[in-house]
This record gives sequence, C-alpha cells and structure tokens, in this order.
Amino acid sequence: MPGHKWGYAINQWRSKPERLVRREQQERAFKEMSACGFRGIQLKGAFGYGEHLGSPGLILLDYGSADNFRDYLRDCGIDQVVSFTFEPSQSPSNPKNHEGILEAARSFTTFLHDINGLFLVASAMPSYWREAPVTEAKIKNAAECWNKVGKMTNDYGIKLALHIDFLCAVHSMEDIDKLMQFTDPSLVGLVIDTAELTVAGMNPLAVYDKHYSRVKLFHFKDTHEKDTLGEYKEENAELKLLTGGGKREIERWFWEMGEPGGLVDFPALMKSISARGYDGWIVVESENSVNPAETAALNSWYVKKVLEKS
Amino acid sequence: MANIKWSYMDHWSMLTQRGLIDPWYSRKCMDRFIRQIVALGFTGYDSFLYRLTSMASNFGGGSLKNVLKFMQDRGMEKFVGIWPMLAGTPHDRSTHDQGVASAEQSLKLVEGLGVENFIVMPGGQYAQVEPVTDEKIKIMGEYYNRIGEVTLRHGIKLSCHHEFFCAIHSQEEIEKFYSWTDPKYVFFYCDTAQHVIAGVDPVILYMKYHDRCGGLHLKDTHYIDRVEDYRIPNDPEMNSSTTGRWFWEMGTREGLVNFPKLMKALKGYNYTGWLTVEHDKADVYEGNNASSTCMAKWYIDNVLSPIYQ
Repeated sequence: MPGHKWGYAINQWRSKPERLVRREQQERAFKEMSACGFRGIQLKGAFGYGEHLGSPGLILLDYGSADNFRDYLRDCGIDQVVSFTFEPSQSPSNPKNHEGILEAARSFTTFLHDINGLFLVASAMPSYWREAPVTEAKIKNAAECWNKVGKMTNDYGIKLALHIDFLCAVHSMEDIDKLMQFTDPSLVGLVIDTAELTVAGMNPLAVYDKHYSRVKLFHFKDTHEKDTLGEYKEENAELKLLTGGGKREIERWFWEMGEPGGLVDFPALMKSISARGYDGWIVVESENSVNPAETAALNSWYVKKVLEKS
Repeated sequence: MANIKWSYMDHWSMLTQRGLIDPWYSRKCMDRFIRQIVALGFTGYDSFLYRLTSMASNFGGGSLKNVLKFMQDRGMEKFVGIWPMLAGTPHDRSTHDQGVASAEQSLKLVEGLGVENFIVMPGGQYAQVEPVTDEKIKIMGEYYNRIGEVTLRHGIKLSCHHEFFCAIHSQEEIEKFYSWTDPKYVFFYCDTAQHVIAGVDPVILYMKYHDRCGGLHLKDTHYIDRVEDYRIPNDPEMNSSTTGRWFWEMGTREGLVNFPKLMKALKGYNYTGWLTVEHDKADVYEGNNASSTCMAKWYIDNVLSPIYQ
C-alpha cells in the first residue's frame, strides 16, 4: 500500500469468537488482510475462555511464544502488530480501580513489547449509561488512571492512546477537551475513530484539528447513521443500540469507506493529516461486516484509488 | 514492465438481503464486485457473453461499451476472455453452419471492445457425445477450424478450454483434437484444475502447446476423478460422487496443481500477457468468492510473482 502506513483491525473477522479459533481460520484472516495491502494488524482485547487472539495469555497458549506468533504473522504477510485494544472490566473513574486496571494493562503491554508492537489502545471510559452522571471529577479520575498506565507503558516502550466509541461516557468535544487537559501529553495520546465520533454526533476532523498534537493513531471506518435519539444514555446500550440497532433498528452501524451514504469526509481528513505531517499508522476497521474479505477489499480499493491519490 | 497481467474470470456471488446473488443483476452489486477485484490487482475481466449483455440492459443503457466504461471508471482495464453464445452441436456436421452464424452474432456484440479470446468448451458433455470416436473428434475439429477462422478475422482467438467432463478431456483425446485442428485458428486454453481432475498434467500440456496457448485459467482442485464422474449426465461439476466442490483457490494445503512448476514453465517460454484467476463454484458450502480471491492474490504476491511476473 503506497503512502501512509495502513493497518487493519482483526475485529471484523471475529464477529463471533468461534470464527477465529482454529489456526486455519486465523491464517485466512491474516492473509486476506495482507492480500488487500494491509500489513499491520490491530488485535482486539477480550476476556474469556473462547476469546482466541483476544488476550496475551491465549495467544501464548496457542502459539507458545510472542516470537512464534510474530513469525506466524510475518509468514502470512503481516509485518507489524500495530496495537492491542484494552477495555478494562472496571471504571477508571473510581481511584480504587486504578491498581487493578494498571495490572491488567501491564499484561497487554508486556506482550506488545515482546512482539515489537506499538500502541495500547484503551477505552477512555465505560459506556455513558454505566457512568452517568458524567462529572468533571470522574473524567479527572479517569485521566489520572491513564497517566499511571501511560507511565507504565512508556517504561516498556509502548504508547498509550485513548479510544472513544459512540457509547462512551466521554461523549462530546467538551469531554474530550477535559480528558486531554487532565492527561499528561507525554504519557497519554488519543485515537481518532472516524465512525464512532460521527455516530456520537462529533466531527472527527474537528476533533483531530483541535487535538492533533495528541493523536497517535487513527481508526478509519464509515457510518451511515448517527445516534439521533440519544440512545447511548439508555441502560444496556451495548446490546440494545450497538448490537440490536436501537429503536430505529439500524441494521449496520459501520460501513466500508466509499459506499454511498457514508457520513465521514475521509478526503478532508486525509488532507488535514497530510498537512500536519502525520506519519503514523492508520488502522482500517469495520466490525460487524457481513463478509470480512469483501469489506477489506472494498476498503483497500478506497485507500488506493481515492485516499492515496487525493 | 511486467510480463504478466492478471485477469479475473467472473463467477462472483455476494451475500445480500436478497440472499446470495450474482452481482451482474445490479449496478450496486457490480460496483462493489469490480472495486474488490481491482483492489486485489486484477485489471482484466473475463466473463460469459450472456452476463455482459444482461449488464448492458440492466445498467449499460443497452451498450457493452458503457459496461466497459463502468468497469474502467473503477480501475479495470479491459475485457480479456469471453465465453460466446454458440449454437450448434460440434460433433454433428449438420449444425455447423448454425454454429458459425451464432459466432458471427457474438462477434458483432463485442465489436470494438478489445476482447482477446473467445473461450469455448470443445464439444459437448462427455455423456452427450460418447462414444467419443476419432471420427467425432475430427468433425469437432472441423467445426472449431471454421469458428476460429471467423473469430480471427475479428482479431479474436478461439481458445478451447477442456472441462473434465468435456467430450475431449483425456490426454489422448486432447492430442488428437489439436493434431486435427489448424494451429492458425484453434488455440489451446489451459485450465489447471480441470486438467488435473481429468488426470492430465496441465504443465506438460502447456509445454506441449505453448506456441498455440491462448491463455490460462488458474484454479486448484483437491480431487482427481478416479471413478468416471465425467460421464455423469446431470451436472458433473456439482453432482458427482467424488465431491460437491471440485474447485478451490490457489494456495490451499490440499491443492493438487503445481503452480510454481507452471510459473517456471511460463517463464521458460517467455509467456507474456494475461493470466486469469478463476473460482468456479467456490461459493458452495462455506466458501465465498471474496475470501477465495484474497487468498489467490496472497498466493500470487508471495509465491507466483517471485518466480515470474
């Protein structure tokens, strides 16, 4: 892939964990990604017995060592583990949870270090409905937690970047401003996830232009819908809104780039990225794809024929 | 400058809210399909003429030139190999005039589009022709000599593609067929999987007929037909006793085609031009075309191109 460094997130291949258990399933996913020109991978953190590729422990059980896993990826045409996502089981807004989060993050971080990975991508805060009311004090507490985690990851040579999805308690530009204000720029960065911010009612380009100096990573995916009813506030929004589609029964939140109806202005964002001299990774994502290979190929076309030509 | 350009033979299907459909019914689906194969490095398009005419009527305003432009707008370069709509029964001399007339009709439809090959299965299904005698092979040869002469006048090679259930499918039948056809007019089309299923080595065939090879379909198989499934009268590609899925993408562990050996042979004979990837009926069971094509592209990039490109 010419131009920027393009990676792909594994999550679209594991809409259900059992889709990515056997070695031949994993091999096919890695090779599909590579064939489409994406030679960096983002792993998705998850906890549980069947969540293969979801945690350092299970990867080590499956492959024996980080080196073996890296060699296997390389044989499949994947040169770089860009990132591992990390969603703590407890809220960072409560200082009592900080130590547990720090230790949970450490296992991902040491694995990333051992595999020459680059970023720990952490969910900034839990879902809004779990955290409400979202106060400045809670954001400040969360920021303190991530400062501690960022210091730890820095010690291993891994960068920490916070991710904000459309259910997140950090749900507005004002919230993001506070989160950035309360975190140490030398320890904590930001991920711009184009579709998540758009569904949440924000403009990813505006967020980038405001906080570009903190942005360490991009997630590129498109959406055709916003959460116009504010259903992120409702109890169990993960199931009812994200998975179930909410009251409007949205069939698919996340789409390939370049499809009619897409709301993200990728060419404008790329222009800003280039103007600011960003030379980091862009991870393409499309969870909930009907056909992962089809989605990866369509995203590949858009990157090659539109984004890298603009 | 590369010696090899990659083309894609269209058997695509995609999962939609209307179920699994062929994309050529719909502009939207064709748009997604073409973007996918262009992204995977295919700049040539192979298909059946009836599909192209359906596209022309569905979203091309009745014109195949518009269909070509639709593809070119998405990065496709050209149509390469087309299966024409031929009438006639090749081993029945009384139908040959009808066959030649149908070839001329197909030629009119693709006039000015830069098609390089008309690809045909020489002869009917084995079960419809057997016993396959020398006399019948000679009559079929006469038929394709006539068709090939007509197509070549329009700059298109007539290339014969031997399905494993084709009347001319064994080494002996193939050799007789090419010895009784005119090399000026009748070209050999090498389908790697079909030959392997029929118990024939496609690399040896290519080497034997390299100077009259019109092109190649690269696909793999996991099985050889050892029980005369080629004689099944009702759809041997889908209804055989050996397997319900004969064809696989390149690069599977069980694959029987020796593609590296083929690439070395192509290099040895300085082959230049199009190689066509085909995934015929790769969507049965758990398969899907997008996945198979990604895997084939991976195999091209990591195994074949280092040998010859």
